[in-house]
Amino acid sequence: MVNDSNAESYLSPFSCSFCRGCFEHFLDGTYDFLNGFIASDGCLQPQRVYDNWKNYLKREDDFCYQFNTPRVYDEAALGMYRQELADLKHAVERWANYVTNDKLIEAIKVYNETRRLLRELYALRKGDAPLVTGEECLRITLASMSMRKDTFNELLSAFLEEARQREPITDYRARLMLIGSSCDSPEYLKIFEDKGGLFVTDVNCYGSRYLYDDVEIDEKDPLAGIARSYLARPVCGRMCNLHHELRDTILEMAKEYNVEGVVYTKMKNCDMWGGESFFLDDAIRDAGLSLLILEREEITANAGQVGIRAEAFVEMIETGGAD
Amino acid sequence: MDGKIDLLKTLSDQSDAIIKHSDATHPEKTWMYRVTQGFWNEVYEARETGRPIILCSPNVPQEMIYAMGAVPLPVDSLPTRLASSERAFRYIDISEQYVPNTVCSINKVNFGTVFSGDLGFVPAAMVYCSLPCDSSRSTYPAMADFLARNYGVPTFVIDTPYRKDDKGYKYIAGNLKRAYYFLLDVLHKEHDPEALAHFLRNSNRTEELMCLIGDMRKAVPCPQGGRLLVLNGMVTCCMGSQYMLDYVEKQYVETKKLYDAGKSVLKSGVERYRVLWMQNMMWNYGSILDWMEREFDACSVLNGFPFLGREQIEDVYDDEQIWMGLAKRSMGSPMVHSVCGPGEAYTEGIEHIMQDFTIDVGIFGGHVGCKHAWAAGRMVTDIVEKKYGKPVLTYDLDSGDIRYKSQQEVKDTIYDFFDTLAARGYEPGLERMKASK
Ligand code: SF4
Ligand code: SF4
Repeated sequence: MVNDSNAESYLSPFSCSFCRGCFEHFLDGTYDFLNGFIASDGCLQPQRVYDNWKNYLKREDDFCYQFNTPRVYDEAALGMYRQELADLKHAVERWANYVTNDKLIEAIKVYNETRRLLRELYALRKGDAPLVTGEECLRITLASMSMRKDTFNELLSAFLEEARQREPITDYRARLMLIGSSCDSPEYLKIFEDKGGLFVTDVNCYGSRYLYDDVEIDEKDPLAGIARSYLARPVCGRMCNLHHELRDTILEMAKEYNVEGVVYTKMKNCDMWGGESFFLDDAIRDAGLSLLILEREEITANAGQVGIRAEAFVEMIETGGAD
Repeated sequence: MDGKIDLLKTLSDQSDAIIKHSDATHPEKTWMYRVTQGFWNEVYEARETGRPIILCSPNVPQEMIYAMGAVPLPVDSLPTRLASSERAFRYIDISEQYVPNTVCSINKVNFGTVFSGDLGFVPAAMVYCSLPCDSSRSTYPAMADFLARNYGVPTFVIDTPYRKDDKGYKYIAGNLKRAYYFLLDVLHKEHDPEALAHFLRNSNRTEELMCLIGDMRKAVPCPQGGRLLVLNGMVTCCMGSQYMLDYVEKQYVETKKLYDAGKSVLKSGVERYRVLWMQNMMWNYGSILDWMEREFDACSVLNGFPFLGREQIEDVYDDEQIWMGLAKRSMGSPMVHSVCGPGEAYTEGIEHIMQDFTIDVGIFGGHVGCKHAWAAGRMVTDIVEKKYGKPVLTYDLDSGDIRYKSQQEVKDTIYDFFDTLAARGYEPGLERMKASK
């Protein structure tokens, strides 16, 4: 949990609290060990974290780089995105070391192995008797983001082996899916799981949207393979012409994981996920799924209230009540 | 939907009434409102006569739409026009059924007007840019989807890059050109170089005059006031049109008169404070700018998302120059050029204004929906306060929804600020006068 009051004095109370939390860590020295910052314009709010960092906190020899990601998926955007990747590669090479095609392909393979293992982890949640909780799964995907992938792969392989020997979870009352604004808070999921819900899958930046589908290995032009795989990936509403793909991904995952209820969290001041309701709400309900929409802040100060909503939602699903 | 009105007719009639009223009360000011009249009359007449209307975002070059014989309706022209009225509530309330209330009211009104059906026409196509912001990205694709699904309206999204350099310009130039051919196809038209050249000549001259007017605003005393900063928002709604060019020409003549005579636009003739509005202008409370002029002799010299005139297209028949020129203009639109890219664009913009426009006070009247501008607020206020030693007033308002804060509340805040400045003996204008004597 982060007290983000210092960050608020830079980013204002009208910003997303997830971003304020990130900036607070820069201010309080948590991220002092970092040697640089590469920003990508996912949405505009994290961009301002980068801008404020660059303006107020950047040290002289810190590496900083602005990566520009197109907001549509088409041929022209793919060309632009590949060019952006090449520019980033050159910038990293100037700062650190050469990034050869061989090294790139090697890295993609390691990352694809992470993806494969994460899919295996998710697969443990598919059946009627899942082996891991949503809270636990989120802790694991969070760990994957801040570790070397080769080390992570070893640890996750060992975990998967151990998890397969576990007692399955059978005492849950409703199979849930998490979607919405960035959620890096396992405690938030735990509130629902303590009430008898079980998160069996998600469409969350810190969950399945991080590393899931393999990146294509283009031996001749690995950057083009990365570009094609990353740009087509429906992550959130930032892509102007991939809203239907995002909706379909959610519905397909819900079907694959036998989901009963979708918990859609919207961070206050998050336009991207806030506005996605237009594309999602009816489609989710039409698919026969229950839907709970909750506003969320990075600091869960209202755990009690969330718990009451969670309990009611789980009960509604269990009793087959109307949404 | 309940409460349905004919919005285009209402706005067209209203703009006629404004002209009538101005003719009767301040005929010398009537020219300022002719652009609004020209615009709303044209859109309304287009609907009535069946001339195709293209729904677009304001950073889509309107010249290319006029050149096809169609009429552009940049959706953002609606919220700014409705900002001071209760009419906006209906559209904001409709949109809040789908988007969170924290979305910018400009986009909420856009969304609501399209959803309500109050526009009373089906656009021939919708073309929008992927910028300026997250708010627009949460509503424009929804509007496009709604129109496509319900009315079969063909839509095109022009991806607009975050980067503001040659690579970015080339990228958007290609996308603009594709949008142009998309529209030709939809309207069953052929490329007409003469027609395009005509509207580009108009917009070249408009841009050139805006540059000259912007330069004159640097003068002490300033020969133009805050009202025009608000009205100039129309420039990106009908660029290339004759009525826009007429408006800017007249603005240039009026500004030049005072500039040549070394006179202030203020009635008192004494410019006590030169104000920089560090964010957008207040679309809903433009009359506060007049009040500040009367009450404190405070002239609103410029805003942080200004329209200062953009790129010239030297050869209006040269394909590359046309699309690169329009690309730079699109990226140089207000809001896009300042807060929709790397933060440096905003901070450097404020730096330039501080260097060139002799600013005495900054007002960060932050529009609540503009969250990414707020998140850069400290960087820009630090420039004005710490680097240039000028006082800054910061407050929040919703420039498109008068329910958020009343005009009186905003006035009280500004009153207290100027009162404090005077109590502290901060009199930069009087000091300048003394020094010049
Ligand atoms: S997408 Fe939403 S939650 Fe994520 S950083 Fe942007 S505003 Fe915050
Ligand atoms: S005022 Fe800000 S939030 Fe609103 S449309 Fe403009 S850039 Fe977007």
